[in-house]
Amino acid sequence: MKTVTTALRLALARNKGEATREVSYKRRYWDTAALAYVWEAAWTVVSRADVVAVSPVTEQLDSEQLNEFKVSNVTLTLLNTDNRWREDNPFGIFAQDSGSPGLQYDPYWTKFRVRVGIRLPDGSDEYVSLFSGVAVEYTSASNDQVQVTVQGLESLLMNANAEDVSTTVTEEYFAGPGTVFTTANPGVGVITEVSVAGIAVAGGDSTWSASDLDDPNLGATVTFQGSQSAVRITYKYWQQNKRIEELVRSLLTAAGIPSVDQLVSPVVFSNPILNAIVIDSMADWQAGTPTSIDYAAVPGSIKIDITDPANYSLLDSFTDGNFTANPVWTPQGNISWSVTGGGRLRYDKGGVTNMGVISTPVPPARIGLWKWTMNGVDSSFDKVTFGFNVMGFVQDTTNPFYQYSFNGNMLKITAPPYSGSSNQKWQLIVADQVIAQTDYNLPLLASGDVVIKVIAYGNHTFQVYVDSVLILQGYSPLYVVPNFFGIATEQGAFVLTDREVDDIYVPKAQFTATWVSPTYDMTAGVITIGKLFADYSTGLAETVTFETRTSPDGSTWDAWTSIDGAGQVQSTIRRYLQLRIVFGHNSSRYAEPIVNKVRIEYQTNVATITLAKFTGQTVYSAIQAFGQFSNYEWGFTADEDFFFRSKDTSRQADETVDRKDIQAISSLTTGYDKVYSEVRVTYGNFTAALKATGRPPRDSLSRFKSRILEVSVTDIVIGNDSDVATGVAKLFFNYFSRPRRRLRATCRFLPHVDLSDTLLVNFQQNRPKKTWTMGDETVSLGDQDASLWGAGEQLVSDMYAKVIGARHDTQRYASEFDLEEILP
Amino acid sequence: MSSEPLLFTKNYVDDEALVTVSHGDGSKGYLFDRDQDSKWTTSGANSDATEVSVAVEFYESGVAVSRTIDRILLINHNLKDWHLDYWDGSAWVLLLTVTADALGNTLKTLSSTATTKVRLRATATQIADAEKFVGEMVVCALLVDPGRDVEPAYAPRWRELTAELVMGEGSLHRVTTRWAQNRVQRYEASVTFSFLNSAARDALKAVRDDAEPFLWYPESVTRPAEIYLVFWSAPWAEKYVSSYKGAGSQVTMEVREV
Repeated sequence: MKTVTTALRLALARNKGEATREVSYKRRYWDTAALAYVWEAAWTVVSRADVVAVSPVTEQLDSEQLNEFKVSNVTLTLLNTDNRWREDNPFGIFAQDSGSPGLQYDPYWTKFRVRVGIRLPDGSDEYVSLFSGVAVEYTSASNDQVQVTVQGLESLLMNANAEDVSTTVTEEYFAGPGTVFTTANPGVGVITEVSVAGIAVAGGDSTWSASDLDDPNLGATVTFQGSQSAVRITYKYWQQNKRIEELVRSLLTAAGIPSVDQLVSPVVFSNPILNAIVIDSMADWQAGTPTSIDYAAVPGSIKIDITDPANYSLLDSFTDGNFTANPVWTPQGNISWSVTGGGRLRYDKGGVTNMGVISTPVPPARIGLWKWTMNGVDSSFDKVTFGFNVMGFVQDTTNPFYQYSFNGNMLKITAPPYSGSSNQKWQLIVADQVIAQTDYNLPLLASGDVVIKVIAYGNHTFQVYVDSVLILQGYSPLYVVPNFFGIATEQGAFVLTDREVDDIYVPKAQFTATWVSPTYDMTAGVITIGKLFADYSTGLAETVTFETRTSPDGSTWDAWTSIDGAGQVQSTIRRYLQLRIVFGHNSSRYAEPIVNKVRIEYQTNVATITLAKFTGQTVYSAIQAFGQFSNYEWGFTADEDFFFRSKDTSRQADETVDRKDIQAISSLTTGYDKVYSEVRVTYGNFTAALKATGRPPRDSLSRFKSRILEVSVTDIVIGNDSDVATGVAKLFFNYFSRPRRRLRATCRFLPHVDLSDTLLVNFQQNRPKKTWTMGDETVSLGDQDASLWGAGEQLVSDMYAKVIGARHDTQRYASEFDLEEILP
Repeated sequence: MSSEPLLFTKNYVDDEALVTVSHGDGSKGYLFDRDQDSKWTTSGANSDATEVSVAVEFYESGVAVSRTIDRILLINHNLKDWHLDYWDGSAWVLLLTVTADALGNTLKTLSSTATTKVRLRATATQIADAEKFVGEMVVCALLVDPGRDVEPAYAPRWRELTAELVMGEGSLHRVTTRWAQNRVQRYEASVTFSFLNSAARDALKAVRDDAEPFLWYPESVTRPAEIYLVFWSAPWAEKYVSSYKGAGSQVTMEVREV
């Protein structure tokens, strides 16, 4: 319904019609500053005397899915005695002037508008626009008249390239040499130019070919037949993850429709769309905020990073000046142990027969990270006489050590007296079995301290690092859980330096890690949040908890809330969601908890377009696809405004028409031909089919047999997990499963009635022979000539109808409507 | 002494003319819309000390042209003291001064002048310190003064464009098309002049032969607001008897408003 005052509707209804017709135009000129064609800002009214005739303005909704407003061409006949409408008339309408100083105006695509003005009782005029369009042809109908063919403003969309709704990257450079070059941006739709060393090369079998186009996650790949250097690629990549309304606006802007004329409603689906947040790739996990999380050990999964500083703790740094407290170290054997003034544990080089151990209890940890600092050796000679072993062990109280080895020890490093002797290498010993060994010389004393790090993983792998260099790695399924950390030594005869050990770290008893997801925008249209499904393992008896929190704005968050036992997300339904995964692991057990995949389902009434690919499309066809996809109606109003809006099929009458308003009703049809018994809808990855059961006698399948409506939108890339089809199928099935009557009504002039408006129609032409009313005493019970006739006896009675076609005739001041019944 | 009916050239203030006003630019189109009720009204000139002006450059088919003028007619106005200037090619020259005008419709004769533009200036209004307004401004030249009233017959008729629809219940829906701001009908008339002398008869015939639209001012004295741009629509028709040859022509004129 065009916006008009009540006074205008009354003036028309009371037959106070006094009307004028107004034709105005805006010329198009070349803006030398903007280097584009633009239209004048203001309308120029054609003198009323110069308007000879205006053909009726005919509009229609497109047939099956009723989404697009189509306006037929309008022909204006204008007086042209002085050839003012001639393109090359230097004194004509299109002559160069101060408004278009560079060139003359271009008659092609001059905008024309047709309005009617109605005189109101207060003497003022109210105008109603009937049509706006662009001139595409000027025909001299006679020597003093010109006929201007004016097309609807859809022409502007049909002639605009939708591919412009993209980002152009000019000459991305690849130094090469190579044969395969991948663009930096994913979602590439069009490769405009490929050049090698500054010379453009056309694609082809013998030159280069492109792949991975239109992929939301991958850049385009250009593969040459031979190796090339200095390659430059110019390409366009599509917008990603945009709402439909955002893309429609972008398309309109590309077609030169000013933003003030873009009346684009947010697309809200009446049936919910099932969406899901899926986290299962390394990129997905890396997008989150980790605390002690290991992404790399199992690509595509997360687990605790047991080597993170948060998961090991300082056992002793000896800064208290002794080893007798915090913690208490117990020496055994005949080695002399002391703590230096600098806070380091020292053991004397002693003599050939000196040997011993020093140890302290630690939390039992089967996996984790142990590390300590020690000094270097003072000469190459020194190293051949030095040996020690160190690490967690299980204390054997009856036989705590044998020479310089613990029972059940883990790492033994024996400095070799000469190379090639296996028991004098660095050895990785697990449960008293050597699983790996290597030759390795400690750095010289002058080089400073070294940090030795030993890591035991849950997958039974062991690693030894010296100053972050991996020197030993091995595998052993055997293990004992150490509950002591100790150093054992047997000093050789030629040792020149006292050994010093410092800053000893051991694994914590309980490992923890937390992963917080990035903020997921479930869009303003989120209506429910469903369950969380996870592929994860808790190891033997570890913990993995899933918590969520939501926010209306992405910054103010509710408290973290755990999912319930059935996996249902408990957070309040709000637009933004975050997931937190908390790991807990007792370090005495080897099996690590791990999370491989998480999927959180939610329902929205809005859909996000994953990749807005418009290859080879016009703005018109792209918007057409969006209109079909969202089941929205769209077109141009008579006031040049583009609209994209939800279809109103309510039984709320915009205007009531009856026999006082309707001159004639013609072609009243039953609508049987528009009934379908099955609807098949394919949107993205989902196909939904709804079929009538065929059982009830009035069911569409039983009445009309098998008629199938197929709706398919495959060009629009939506999320793999967004199911729009099911909801849309229901909508179409509800609409098409019952017959709706259609009729054409010729009415008095109702210029404000628009396509898609709802009219309440009454045409009760079948009057009883003797008219009477309830309570009428002139009739009595038993009268043979009085009948009470109901709605069924009338041609049209209290029928709510949608306007699917309109024809406004400004010559006769009459309107004609094609109407389709709206069923309750 | 002029007779009541007069024939003028067309109004040179028309939609081709370049009209520049000092005040009330939004309503200047009403100066020549052939609708006396709709008016050019100034804005911010509601003081007798404020002079307003309307300058009109004559154009025809986009070309500036010189016009010979000898009449100015202001219809439905409230000007008390006003002047008309013409452009002599280099400067404005005063052509007419009117003081203490108390009429709502004023016709003034000017000394015949050829010019490319004229300027109306006004200061005081008939009710002091009001916004100035003019319904129609006509600047033209006299074509014929027949020297006789319309005798024995003057039969105006009006025509209008209507569309009628018979509704389903038999009622009539009627829309009348308006072509000017406040007019739905156009003028037509059948006029008979009797006892015209041969000079007047020849002048009238020249108007008919010209076949150009002209201003028909049937009652310049009694109903001075009524002036119509018309075509002489019927062929030339006259009759006379031999005893009045040269002085007793009876001419019947059919006019229809453009």
